[in-house]
Order: sequence, then C-alpha cells, then structure tokens
Amino acid sequence: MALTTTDARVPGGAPAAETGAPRPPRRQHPLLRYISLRFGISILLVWGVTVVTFVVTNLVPTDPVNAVLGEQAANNPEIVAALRTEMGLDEPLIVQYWLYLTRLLAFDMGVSAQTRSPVADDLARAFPATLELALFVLLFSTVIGVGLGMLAALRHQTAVDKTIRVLSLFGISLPVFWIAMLIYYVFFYQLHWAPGSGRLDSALVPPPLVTGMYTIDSLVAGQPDLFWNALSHLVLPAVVLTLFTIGTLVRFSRSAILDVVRHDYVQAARAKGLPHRIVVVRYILRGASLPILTMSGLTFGSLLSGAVLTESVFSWHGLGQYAYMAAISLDLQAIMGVGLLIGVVYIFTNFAVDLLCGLIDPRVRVQ
Amino acid sequence: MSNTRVTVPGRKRLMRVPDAWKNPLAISGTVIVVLWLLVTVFAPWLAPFDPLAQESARLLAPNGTNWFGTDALGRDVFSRVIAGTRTSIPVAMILVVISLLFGTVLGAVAGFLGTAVDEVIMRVTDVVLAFPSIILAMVIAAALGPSLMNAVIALLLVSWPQYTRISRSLVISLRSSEFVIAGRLMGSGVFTSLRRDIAPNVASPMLVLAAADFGSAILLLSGLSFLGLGAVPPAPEWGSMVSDGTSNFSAWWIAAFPGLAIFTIVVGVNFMGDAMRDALDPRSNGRLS
Amino acid sequence: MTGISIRNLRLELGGKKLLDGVTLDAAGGQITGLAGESGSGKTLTGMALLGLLPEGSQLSGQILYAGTDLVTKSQKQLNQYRGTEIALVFQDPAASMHPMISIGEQLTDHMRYHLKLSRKQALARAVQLLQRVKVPDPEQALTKYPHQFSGGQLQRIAIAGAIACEPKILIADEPTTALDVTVQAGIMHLLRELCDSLGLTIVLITHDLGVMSGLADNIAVMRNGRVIEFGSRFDVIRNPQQEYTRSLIESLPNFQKGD
Repeated sequence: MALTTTDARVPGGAPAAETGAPRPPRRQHPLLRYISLRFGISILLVWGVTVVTFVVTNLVPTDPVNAVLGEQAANNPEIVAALRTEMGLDEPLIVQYWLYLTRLLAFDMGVSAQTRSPVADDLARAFPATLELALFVLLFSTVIGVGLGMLAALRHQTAVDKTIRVLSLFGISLPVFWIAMLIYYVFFYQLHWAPGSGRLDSALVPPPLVTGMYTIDSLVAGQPDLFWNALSHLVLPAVVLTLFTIGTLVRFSRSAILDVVRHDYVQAARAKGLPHRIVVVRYILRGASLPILTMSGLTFGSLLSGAVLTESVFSWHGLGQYAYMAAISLDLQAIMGVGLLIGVVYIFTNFAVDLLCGLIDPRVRVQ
Repeated sequence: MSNTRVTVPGRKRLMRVPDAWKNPLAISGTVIVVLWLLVTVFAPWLAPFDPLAQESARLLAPNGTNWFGTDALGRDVFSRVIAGTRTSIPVAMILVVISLLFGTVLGAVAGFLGTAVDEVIMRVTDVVLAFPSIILAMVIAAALGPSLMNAVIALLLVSWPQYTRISRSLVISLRSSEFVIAGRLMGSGVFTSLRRDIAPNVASPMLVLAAADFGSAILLLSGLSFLGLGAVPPAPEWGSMVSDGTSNFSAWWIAAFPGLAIFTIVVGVNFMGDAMRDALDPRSNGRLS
Repeated sequence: MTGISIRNLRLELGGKKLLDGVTLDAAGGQITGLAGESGSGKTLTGMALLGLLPEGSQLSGQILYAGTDLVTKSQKQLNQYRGTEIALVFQDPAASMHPMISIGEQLTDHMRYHLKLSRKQALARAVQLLQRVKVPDPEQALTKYPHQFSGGQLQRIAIAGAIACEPKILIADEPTTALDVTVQAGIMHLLRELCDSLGLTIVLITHDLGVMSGLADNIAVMRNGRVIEFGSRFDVIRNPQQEYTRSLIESLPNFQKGD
C-alpha cells in the first residue's frame, strides 16, 4: 500500500485520466520501474533526514553563534550580530531551512568547534576508515553468521541448534562498548596478540591516498608490509564488531532458512534425488538469499552504530571516534554531520540492497 | 452487554504458561531478571558503601572489602554497580512503557483510520527508522544537552516507530479478519470493536515485543551514557562507569563489572523474550528441552 | 513393468500412529488410486515410498521394489532411487517449483546429476520432454521462471521433470487439486497417456473419488492410517464392501441410487 502511494510521486507517473480513453500501456521494464520507485523513496527519505537534522539543530538551547566564535568574539555584540546575519539566523525558519539545504548540497556542513576545520572535510577523512572496518566485518559476520544460522536451521531442534541459539542470544545481549574494552584489555594490553590502537603502527606512513582504506591503498601502492600491518590493526576492532552483529545475523538467517525448508520446492528437490549439498546450496540458500541480503544491509547500518561505540576504544580514526569526540565535547555541527552522513549511507545501503534483490529475484526482474 | 458476543477464534491468550515453563531458557531468564529486580528494590541495603563517597584508596583491585575494587576516585565499584540498578532498570522500564503505549496507539490509529493519517504517520516512522537508533538518539541527546532526562527523551523519540509499524500491521490484518467483521455486522460500534476484538489481539504480540525491547533499551541507554550523553557523573550509571574505565585500562575492574551487569540483565531479558516469542508463534515449536 | 508393494507399513511420530499397517500393491503399468479424507495417511504413504518423512518419525514394515526393501535403505541409498526409479508430482506446482530458478535449470539439474548428461544434452532432452507433455514453445519455456506460467502449464512442466530420468514409478499427490477445474481433465489425460505409453506405474493420491473413478485401474481407500478397501475400480465403485467407502461414493455429485 505504501509503495503504490509513493509511486504516484515518482516522476514519470503521468496524469492518466486526461481523456476518457484507456491509457496506452507504457512499455516500461518492470525492473526499471522498481528501481525508479526505490530510488524515489530513498530520495524522499534523505530529504526527511535533512528535516530531522535541521529540526534537531534548532532545538538547541545554546546559540549556534557561540559554537562558531571564540569566547572573546562571542562577547562582542557587533561581531555576533554580523555573524547572525551571515548565518541567516534572523530569517524565518523556512528560509533558514532552505539556506541549510542549499549549503548541504554544496557539502557545507559547518565548521567543527573541536577540530576547527569544515565538518565535511573531517567526515571525508574519517569515513573511509570506518568503511574499511565495516566492510571487513560485514564480510566476516555474514559468512560466519549465515553459516551458523544455516547449520542451526538444518539441524533444527538438535543440540547444535540449541547451542547456537543460546550463543546468539548472548551475542545480541553484549554491550558493544564493554566487549570492546574487554577484548582490548585481554588481547592487546595483556597478551599483545594484536595491535590495540590506530590503523597503522605509529612509525609507518600511510599509503598514498586512493580510497582512504589502508588495506586497499597499500595493495594498490604495492606495499605488502603496510598491508599486513594495516590488517593486523584491523583484527581486534573487527572481532568486536563481528561479535556485535553476528548474533542478529545468526538468528535471522536461521529463521529465514527454516522458512525456506518448509517449502514444497525443497521437498521437490529432494524427491528428484539431488544430493543434500546441491539441495542446500542451490535450492535452500537461493530461497533464503533475499531476506539474508536485506539483513546484511541492515547489519551494515548497525555496524555504523557499533563503530560509534567502539572506535574510540581502539583509537580508530573513523566516524565512530569522530562522533565520540564530538559527543563528549558537544560539538553540535560535527554530530549533525555524522548523523546526516550515517543516515544517508544507511538509506542508500538499503537502496543498494533493494536493487540487488530486484536483480536476483526473477519475480521482479522478468514480467 | 447484549448477546452479540460471538465466539472469537482469533482471540488468543498471551501464551500457554505451562509450555513456557518447560523451557529452561525461560526459567533461567526469569530467574536472572527477578534477581536483578530484587537488587533494584533492595539496593540501598545491599550496597556496602555509599556509591558516591570517595572513601577508599584509589584504583584498588578487587579484594575482601571492595569486592569489585575501587575506581579512579576511590569509590567502591560494587556499591556503584548495585546503585546503578536504580538508574538503568526503572529508566529503561519507563522508556519501554511510554514508547510502547505511544507507538501502539499511533499505529492502531494509522491502521484503523487508514488514508491520509496513515500516510503521514508512516512517512514519519520511515524517516526516523532511516537512522540507526543510537545515531539519532546521539544527535538528539547532544542537541538537548547531556542529562539522563534528555537521554530518555532522545531514546523515546527514536524508539516508538517500531511499535507503530507492528501495531499498524496487526490492526490492518485484524480489521479485515472475519471475526472482527462478524462483530461489526452484529452491531458493535467502532469503539467496542476496537476495545473488545482488536485490542486484546494487538496486546499480546506488542507486550512480547516490548519485553524483548527492554534489553535493547538498557543497551541504548548505557550506550548514550558511555558517550557522555546520558547520566551525568558522579551518578552511578553502568554505561558511564564503563566509560570511566577507558582512562584506566590497567584497572580492568572499573569497566568489567558494570558491563557484566548490563550484559547479564540483557541476557536474562532476551532469554525470556525468546521463550515468549516461541510460545506465541504457532509455527515454531522450538522449545529447548 | 515394475510395480511396488507395501507390506504392513507403520509410521510413528511422537507417539502418534500416523500409518497403522498399510498394505497395498501398485501393479506395474497401472494406475493405482489412493483415496481417503485428509489425515487418513494417503500422502504420508506416498512420501514414505520415497523415504521423505517428517523428522523424528519412525517407519517400519516393508516397501518392496524390484527385489529390495526400501525401508531398510539409508537416505543416501534412497537418493539413488529418487527421481530415477520413483518420482513425485506435488499438489501445487507453484509451490513445488523454486520461484527463483529457471525452468531450464529445474528441469535439467537432476538429469545432469543422475544421467551424467552435459548441460547441452540435458537441455535438448528437456525440450523433448516439454513437447511430450504438450507445453507450447518449449525452447522459450526453458528460459522462463515459474511465475510466468499458469498452474496447468506449470503442472505439465513438473510432470516433465518427474519423468525426466525415466522412473518406473510415479507418485502423483493430488496433482489437480490446486488447478482450475478446466485444466484438471487435461492433466489427468496426460497421466493416463504416460502410464500407457511409457508403462509407468502411477500411484495417484487424491481425496476426489470422482477423479479417481474415471482414471484409476485399482482403488485403495484409506482411513485412519490403514487401507480399508482395495480392489479394481469397477469393484470398489460398484460394489463397495465397507460402509465408509459407500458413504464416500454416495457423496459424489453425480451419484444416483440404484445406478
């Protein structure tokens, strides 16, 4: 229901009832229709996200002018007044929102009170670090999580299933910031098994910037030593975030696969005499692929939340640590920037997932 | 009442209690949660020291007097963990109850009325759900300024939409179900229909959802406090106590015990929630034996 | 022509007797109808022939096929029979075909596995099979997905898949129940024709005695997990021995007393 109503707002939904004649069928490919619909929804959501950050910024009891100015300047009423005008704070809210939106479109998210540099620049530096971590974790936790979930589902009601179920409940009950500290303490502070802080040993120079992700950039630059070092730094934070996400993934893929196993088409595949391996990989896993893909997309979003609560422990200079620093020093522009970025990334991840689902699912792909 | 009461096949009880009690997960979860609730009630009598008093030596490792050691200010960690129950548990409860009520009612209204009201409500939930919840809560809490009250407001603002979504879809499916229509045909008014046929059927799944959500409320609340956006020091709150530990990694006990407290209660709640979901879901006979 | 015999087959699940000593002979090259209300155990009997039973259930008795007892075989050994010796057609083709796998793949994967055919050979055979079951435009059909077909067409495709590895026994579990009345007769004719031309032994499971009386050579009536009446179509319909069978026949829409 929600889909059809939003559909009406997607450009191209030409007015139908101009004449009494039946509308000639527009030969639009179903996949194209689906993609444009999903894209339209994503754009609407991004717009909604800007409204939220704008409203929240305007809730602030403190004057944003003070955040920008130093203490001395803030005491000078002329400078304050000039800045207020410049920032558009004397205008009505709707105009202010318009100004906010146009600034955002030019990637202007204000200046961080803490780093004194444009928030957009800070985010551009921090985001690849978090992305690198998140992609690694997404890969690990999806493989392990789906594997365990499948094992539990295929061994439904056995000891294996019950053990996996209890472990996954432990997983979803972990306060991620706490497990981060425990792992840091045990595996770095006590055992020195892996580096505990930063993205590289402090003596090393980061590889030339390509993607901002050190493991990839070092490979591009042909520096294998740097790659291994960067990878070793990834281990502990990646383990923490894997623990954080894996419980949900296991539970979700378990129930997704249980849903599939019940279907006739799995029995039919068995009745054809196909070996267990083929039935599982080709029939069951493919049947569960859409919900699992959707879940992985959501996991990516929750990884970003996890990063906010873990990166500071490992001095991982990503979005999470930036957000943590911004939060504890109440650097509002920076926090809004992080919120906006994560919101937008989240929305477009889901869009990408929808797109992939559309490509995979013949019921969407072919008419 | 008239004789319009029809037999209602769709009505079901919250769960069949005996079944749930055969489940060891449900039992251990309930035991853990009840223990923590008892600690909450009797906290002042259980804590050996004043949780705020800086009376012992600083950074003492766990020992016979200070079971969980002392923190950087010489406060007894055990007493602070005990006292922390009185922040996390009631606050998380209030949080869940308010967002449950607000979200459910809003969802029921959207589902029952449909049309434009439904559209507006659902678009707003879409936007709120477009953020990972801790991120949006962080943004709001930062804007309001750090305090426990503001953290609760922030979390309320992010946690109602999940209830709205589910109660809406429940109401929509119930509205068109046969026994509700039968009730309407036999002369029940909108209000009677809502109260007698719809509300009881929405209530049980919503309560299970809320029970399971209590755990994530505790996690979110302590997460915000860990970020310095919740309870303000020196108040004993588990999340901010873990955060205290970040500046003293060698004194592992400062962070370890409050974190363990969060972990155990959330595990208890999730065990219960899982068992309840099983009991409610007719498809799963996934009972742990 | 190979038939299949069931001797005193019992199935228990969680202390409940689902099959309570089923004995039945499905004669080679004939259609044996298995009738009964839902819960009578007729579908379970069919699934038991393939060894596809609910988890945790216990099967005893004998299933005699080509000189061996299938009840004693492991799941892995049974895999050598499934599809190649004994095949199954499900009730609802829309549910028994994987929605995300092309018809071509679903028709050929077991051929490639059992008959060790190459992809090309298997596809060529699939085209022949689709022609055999009268699906129009077979080459095109192989590239399509289940949702692009009507129920009747899909059931024909499912039957083509079932006979692909030249099984001797075909179990058809309510093969027309999920279909429109208009296409039911076509599917029934197809089954009869396959039985006659390929020498297939068909076990036709249905609650619809009307369908069965027009198609089956022999009819078994099941109730509460046992076969209570068994005989040729003519005998069972004209001269039922059991009160229960009589009541089933009398409830047929075109039944006339004294006919």
